[in-house]
Amino acid sequence: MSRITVPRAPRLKVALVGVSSPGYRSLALGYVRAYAEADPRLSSVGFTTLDLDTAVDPWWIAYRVLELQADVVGLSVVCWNARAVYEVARIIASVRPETLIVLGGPEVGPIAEEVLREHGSVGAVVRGEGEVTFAELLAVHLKRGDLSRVDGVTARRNGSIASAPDRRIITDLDDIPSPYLSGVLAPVDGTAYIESYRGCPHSCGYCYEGKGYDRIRRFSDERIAAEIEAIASAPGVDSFSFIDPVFNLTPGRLAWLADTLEPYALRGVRLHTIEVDLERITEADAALLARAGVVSVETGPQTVGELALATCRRSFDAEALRRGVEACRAAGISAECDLIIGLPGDTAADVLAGIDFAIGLDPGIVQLSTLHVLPGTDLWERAGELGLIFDREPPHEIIATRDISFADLRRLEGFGKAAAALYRARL
Amino acid sequence: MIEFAEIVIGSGGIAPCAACGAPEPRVLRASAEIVAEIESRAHGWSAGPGPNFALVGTEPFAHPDLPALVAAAVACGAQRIRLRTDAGALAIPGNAAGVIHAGVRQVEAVLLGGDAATHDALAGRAGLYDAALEGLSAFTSAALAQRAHVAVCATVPVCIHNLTQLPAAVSACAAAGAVSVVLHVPAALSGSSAAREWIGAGLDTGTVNGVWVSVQCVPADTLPRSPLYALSPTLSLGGVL
Repeated sequence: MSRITVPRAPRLKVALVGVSSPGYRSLALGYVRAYAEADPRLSSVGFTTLDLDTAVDPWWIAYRVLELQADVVGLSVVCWNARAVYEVARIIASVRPETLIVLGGPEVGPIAEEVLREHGSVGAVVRGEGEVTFAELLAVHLKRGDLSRVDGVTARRNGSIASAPDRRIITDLDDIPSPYLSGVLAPVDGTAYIESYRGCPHSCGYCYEGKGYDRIRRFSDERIAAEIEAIASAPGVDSFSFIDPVFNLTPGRLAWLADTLEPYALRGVRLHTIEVDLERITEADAALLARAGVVSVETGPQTVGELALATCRRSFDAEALRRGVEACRAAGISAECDLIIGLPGDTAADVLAGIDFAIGLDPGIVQLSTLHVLPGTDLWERAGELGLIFDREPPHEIIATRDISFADLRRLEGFGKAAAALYRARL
Repeated sequence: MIEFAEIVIGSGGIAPCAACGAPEPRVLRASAEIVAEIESRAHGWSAGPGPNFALVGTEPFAHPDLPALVAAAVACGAQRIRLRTDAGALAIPGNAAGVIHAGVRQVEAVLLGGDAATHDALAGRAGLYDAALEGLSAFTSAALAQRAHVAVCATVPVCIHNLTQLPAAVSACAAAGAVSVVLHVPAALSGSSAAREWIGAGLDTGTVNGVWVSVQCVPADTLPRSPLYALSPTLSLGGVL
């Protein structure tokens, strides 16, 4: 007589909740889950991922999460989803106060103690890279240990808030199982992203891309090639992208990526919105991008104002950028030129000159955004010194600068939006 | 910014304020002459991204050769083709989809008031206001269906008869999906403090509703609110007859 095996209920139920932009999914939560699931100490933990988006009302996000009756809820927080995440956390904690709510991500890591002070519903914040720290946190939580002693965690301890030391960064990124290769994340057309390295060669004052780490760490070529194969060969996937801050990191790297991606490009798989240093793109580089299947790239200049460029530690070579756009255009690749309104040092005339310059390049798309003074960035630290008045509440938009009033910033946003739309309305 | 070569396809027909004076009779320019000008200006284009053409001067949908004129611009490599129109004809089934399919990517609607009663009275044509809004809606819907990037703009010829309508007119443009509105202010009004207040209200309405409003024919340093409002994202290169 055969016996029916009833699966054991997990000792701990963990819900990982992504609140992404519509059409996107959280790669970060994929990493966190893949790493935790591979940890033998967490074999009794059951994981569920809810990939939702900001179009969903926070009350309905909370409803979905509460239905899972999770013991631990982990949420990834960036500036533009933070308000929704805090609301979700507040509702969950009100209904089910025994739930441990853990936040991580660039919005909360650099200001972890402030987040815990202001949001009583949040139990702990993971600072920096989340994979190892979150797994350690769960292991300690299983044993009813003190979370505030886990390196990289800020948590509540006896009515106060305590931060353990920072965790050392992961030396070998291949130690993190691939969310795609482990089956945690199924590739979906257009929304699958590959990260081939962490860190950024630039240190722009407004950006948290480098996440405070001073060097670049790469996933192995074998790992990247396997992820490309998994995504590009998945049924229904015709396009995907890379989240690397600079796709053309080095000439050798670009050549390797072109070689690796070309077979898939020949089958019609395309790469969209790849971030590149367009000023370094030659005709030969553009040909490599085309071989890789790249159809669109995204780049700066963010501003053309000399003082803002210097303040934000950015270089800018107008002629090189023009050549890069032309090289891409000749290779059939459209470029998106990004500009930021409200950078310190920029006057209204600088902003207008930037819009005029970007449109004059005729890149395909001109995208304007308003400065967000992000936690952990140089501008966040130096806001007072630089005369930046910004909203301390997420998404931390610039309110006024020393050179541009509140009203003129709003006017420049309106003008820029109209100029970008009229530029794009073309054959 | 983005420059447009204005191609005059005729005169009269798009109503100026009927209360300000009798409308001119419509006169259409010969198609061969228009096509020749399009070709000539495309050939010598040196004004940044382009060539871009705005067909102006009279109601383009009244020109029997409109399809051929748009086709000529497309054949010359035009990037942006714009029609200055009262927008009413866009509401006729098939027109909006047809012009987008042909290559038109921008429409510049001429609006005289912020409600049907004012607009229709000043345009001298009952039902035009509702038809214009319906036409603009049809244009953006057709663009979505064809996955074309289009833009709706508006021009408001300001006069003493619609001055108090400026906030409502800008609001209506915003509701119709316009990204940019130009207020043409005649010299006779530019020094008036009352006009300044109403223009300022129109500018504020645009900023608050996410549509850029610029003022033409008034010195930038005398504009209400900010000299920035003298700026238009598009520039006209003028017509050559």
